[in-house]
Amino acid sequence: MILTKVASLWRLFNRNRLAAAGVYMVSFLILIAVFAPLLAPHDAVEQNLSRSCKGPSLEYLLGTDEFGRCILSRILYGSRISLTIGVTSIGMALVVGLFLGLIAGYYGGIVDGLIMRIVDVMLAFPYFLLAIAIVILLGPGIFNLIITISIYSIPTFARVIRGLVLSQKQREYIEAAKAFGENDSNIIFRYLLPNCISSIIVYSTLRVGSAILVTSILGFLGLGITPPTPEWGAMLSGGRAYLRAAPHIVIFPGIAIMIAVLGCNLIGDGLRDVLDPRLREEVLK
Amino acid sequence: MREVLLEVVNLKTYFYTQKGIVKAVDGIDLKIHRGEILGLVGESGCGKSMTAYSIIRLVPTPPGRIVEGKVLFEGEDLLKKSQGEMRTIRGGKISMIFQDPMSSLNPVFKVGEQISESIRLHQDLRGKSIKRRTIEMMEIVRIPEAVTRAEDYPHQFSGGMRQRIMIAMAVSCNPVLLLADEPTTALDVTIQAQILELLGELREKLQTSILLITHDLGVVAEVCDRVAVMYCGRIVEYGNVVTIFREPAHPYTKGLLGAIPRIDESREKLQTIIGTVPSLTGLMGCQFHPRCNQAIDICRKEQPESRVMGREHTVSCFLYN
Amino acid sequence: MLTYIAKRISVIFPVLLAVSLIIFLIMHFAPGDPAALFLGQMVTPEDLEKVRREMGLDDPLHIQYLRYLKDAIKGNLGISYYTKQSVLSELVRLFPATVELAVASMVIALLVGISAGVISALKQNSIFDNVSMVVALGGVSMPVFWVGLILMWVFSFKLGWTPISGRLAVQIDLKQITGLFVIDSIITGNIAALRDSLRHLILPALSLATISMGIIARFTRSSMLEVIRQDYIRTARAKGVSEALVIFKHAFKNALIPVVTVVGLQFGLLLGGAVVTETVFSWPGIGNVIIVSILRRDYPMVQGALLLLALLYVIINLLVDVSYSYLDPRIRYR
Repeated sequence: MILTKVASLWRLFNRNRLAAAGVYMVSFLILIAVFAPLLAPHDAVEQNLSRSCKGPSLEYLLGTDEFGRCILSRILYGSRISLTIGVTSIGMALVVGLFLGLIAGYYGGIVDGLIMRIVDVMLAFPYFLLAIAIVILLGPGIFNLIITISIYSIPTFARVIRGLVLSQKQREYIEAAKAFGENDSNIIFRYLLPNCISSIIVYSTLRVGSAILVTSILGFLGLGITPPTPEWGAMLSGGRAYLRAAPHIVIFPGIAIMIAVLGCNLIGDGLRDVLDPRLREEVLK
Repeated sequence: MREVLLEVVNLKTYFYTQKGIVKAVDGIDLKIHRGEILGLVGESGCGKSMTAYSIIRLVPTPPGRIVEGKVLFEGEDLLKKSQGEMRTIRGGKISMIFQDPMSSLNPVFKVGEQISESIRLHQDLRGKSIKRRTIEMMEIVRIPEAVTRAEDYPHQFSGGMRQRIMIAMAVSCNPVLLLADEPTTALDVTIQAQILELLGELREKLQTSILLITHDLGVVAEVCDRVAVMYCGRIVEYGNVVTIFREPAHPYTKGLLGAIPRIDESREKLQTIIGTVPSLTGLMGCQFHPRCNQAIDICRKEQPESRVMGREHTVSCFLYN
Repeated sequence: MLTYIAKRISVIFPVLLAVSLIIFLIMHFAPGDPAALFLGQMVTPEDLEKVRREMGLDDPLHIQYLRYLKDAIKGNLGISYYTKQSVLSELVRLFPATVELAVASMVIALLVGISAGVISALKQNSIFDNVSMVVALGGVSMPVFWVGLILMWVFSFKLGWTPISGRLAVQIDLKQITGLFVIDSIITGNIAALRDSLRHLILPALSLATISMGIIARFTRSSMLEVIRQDYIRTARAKGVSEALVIFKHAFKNALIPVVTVVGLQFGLLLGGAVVTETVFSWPGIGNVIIVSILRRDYPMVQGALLLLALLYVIINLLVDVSYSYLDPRIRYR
C-alpha cells in the first residue's frame, strides 16, 4: 500500500525535470564523496610550488591552486567535508528543532512563549551572523563547525515545526483522538507527526543546501576550516589574490558549491510540488 | 409580447483538459425579454455559471473556448465582437454579480472607490458628480449612511451589505441586462429575501432584465417570470414559471420539484433523484437517462430535441417526441 | 493600530537585551586574554595586572555584564583593542557605507525580482517563466562571494570597467553630508563623484542583490498567481476594466502586500551577506570590520558591530511589520 503511494509520487516527481536534475546533482555529489580516494588523480594536500596557479591541463584537469595542489582532487575530497557537515548538522538541528517545535506547538502557553522568545533572540542576528558569533566562541575545526551550523539552524526548524503542529492541532482528527482518550505522546507521534512528515522532509532538504552554503561562507572568511583541509569556500579564498591571473582557482570550487546547493534546492522544490496536493491539480493542456 | 433583449442560439462552450473535453455548455437556446427575470436552474456543475460567462465572454480561455453559437444582444452577436468592444459592454449594458460578495470585492480598495470605478468607465461624468452618483447608487440599494460608509473597506460590512454593494456596482451604469450568478446562495435566508426583493425592485424601477442563476427552486418561485432548467450543459425544460411548477414535463424537473420538502404534505421519506451528476465528459444518448425512472430504449442512444409543449413551454425529452 | 505598534516595540527591548547578553557572553568566553590583546606583544606582568584591574576583568560575570550594558546604553561601546579608538565612533564612521550597500542591493533586488515575478506570473509556464524561475533558484544557490569574485573578474579585470575595491577613487574630493556617497554627490552636484561612486557601488550591490533577487522573484510570482485567481479579479473584468488596469491596479496592490513581509527577512540576508561582500570588495563598512576584527581578536569591535547589526535588523523588521499592517486595510481597520 505504502509502496504504491511512494511509486506514484516518484513518477510525479520525475515528471518534474528540474527535480530530477536535482537528484542527479546530489547523487553525483554523494558518489564523488564516497569514491573520492578512487577518483582523485592526485593527492589533495601535497604542495608543489613550482606548479602553482597553472590553468587546466591534461595532468591537472582543473588546474592547480596557489600552492600547486590539484584542484580537482581537492574538490573531490572537499565534497566529503561539505556533505558531512551539511547532513550531520541538519540531522542534529532537526532532532532538537523537532523536539522544541512539538512541545511549543502542542502544549502552548508558557512553554511555547519561552521557546519562541529564545528563537526570536537567535533569529535577531541577521543571516549567518549567529554562526559567526558561535564560531568565534568554539574556534575552527570540522567538529566545531558541525555544532555551529547545527545551533544556527535550530531556530528556524523549531519555528517551522511549531507552525506545522499548530496547523494540525486544530484539525478534527486530533480532537477525535483526544475524545477517545488517547494520551499526549500517542497523539503526537502516531497521528500528528505523520501528517507533518512531508513538509519536514521538504524543509530539511532545503536546509542541507543552506548548511553547505554557510559552511562555505565561513570557510571563505577564514573562520571555519583549518588549512590544509580542502573545504570549497576556503579554496576560493586562497585563490582570491590570484584572481586576475588564475581565475580557475576561484571558478571551479564555486561551481562545486553551486551544484551542491542547487541540487538540494531543486530536490526540495520538487518534493514540495509533489507533496503539496494543492499544486497537483492542473486542468491545462 | 415584449421585445427580445438577449437571444442565445445553440451556444457551446467546451473545456479542453488533460482528462478530455468537458462540454460545460452543450448547445443551449435562451431568450430574455426586456424587463423580464429569467431563472436558470440546475444542480452544481451543470454549466449555469458558464452560460453567463459565455454571454459576457469571460470564459477562462486557455482551457475553455466558445466553440459554437450566437449570443444576440440587442440584435448584435456578442461572440463576434472584439475584446475592446466587449469591455465597453461589460459593466455598462450588461453587468454581472457573483455568488460570494466577500471574495468578489477587492479587499484593498474602499467600496465607494470600487463603485466609482464602474461609473468612471462607462459614463461621462466627472469629479463630484461621480461621487454623487456613487452615493445615489448606495442609497438605491439601501445602504444606510452611504456617505460615511463609502469610505469603508469590504471587510467592514456584513454579508448582505456586501452583496448590496456588488449590486450597486453592477447597476451603477443602468445596464439593460444583469447576470446574477447565485447572488443569494452565500447569504442567510432573511437576507436572501431582501436581496431578491431588491432585484425585483430594480426590474420595476429601472426596467433591468435579469438572468438569475440559482440551484434553489424557492428563489425561482419567488421572483422569476420564466425559468430554464439545465442539466449537464443542456436545457431540458423551459417556460413560464407558473406552468412549469404546476405541470413539470421533464423527469428531471419533476424530480427537482418532488425533492422539495413541503409542509402541507405528509410524506415520510424525501423523494430523491437517484445517482449523481456525471462529470461533463459526455455520455451516449440523453444525459439524464441513467437517473431517469421513465427512461425508454431510445434514451440510451440519442439526444432528444426540444419540443414545444404549449405556449412558452419547451421540453427536451423522448417522452414527448 | 497604535496599540499594535506599541506592543511590537515593547517586545524588541527584551530581545535586544538578550542579544546583548549573548554577544557579551560569547566575547567573554572567546579565546584570548583581553588585557594581553589590548596591550599587544611586549608587556610585563605588572602592566597586564594593571590593565586587568582597569578593565574590571576580575569582577564576577554579572557585574561585568551590567557594566557593559550601562556603558552601552550611555553610548560607550568600549575601546578597540587594535586602533585604541572608541568603538562607537569607528562604527558610526563605517555605518553609512554598509547602509548604502544594503539599500542599493535591496533596490536592485526589488526592481529585478518584482518585475521578473510579475512577468512570470502573467506568462505562467512560458519560456520566460521557466527560465527565470530556474535562474532565481540558481541565484539563491550561488555563494555570494563567488558571484562577487566572478563579477570582479569579468568587469574589473577582463573588461576594466569597474574598480576592484573601495568606495571612491582617491583623487576625487567629495564633501560628505550623509556618508552615503551617491546621495552626497547628488546633493553637492558633484558629477565626477557621482559617476565614480556609482562605478564603485555597482558591482558589490549587484552581487549582494543576487541573494535576494531570486527569493523575491519567486515569492512575487506565487503571490501574483494567487491573486489573479481571486474572485475580485473576475469582478473587475466583469466591470469592463482594461486588462492592464486589472493587473496593475487590482491585482498588483494585493499581490505586493505579502511581498512586504518578505522584505524584512531579505534585509537580514543582505546585512549578513554584506559581511561577505564587503570583504570581497574591500568595501569599508561594518561587515568588513567585523571579519577583520575577528581575525585580530579585537573583541570590543566585534561586539559593537554585531550589536549594531542586530539592532538595525530588529528595527527594520519592526518597520516592515508596521507598514504591513498599515498597507493591508483588513488589519488597519479592524
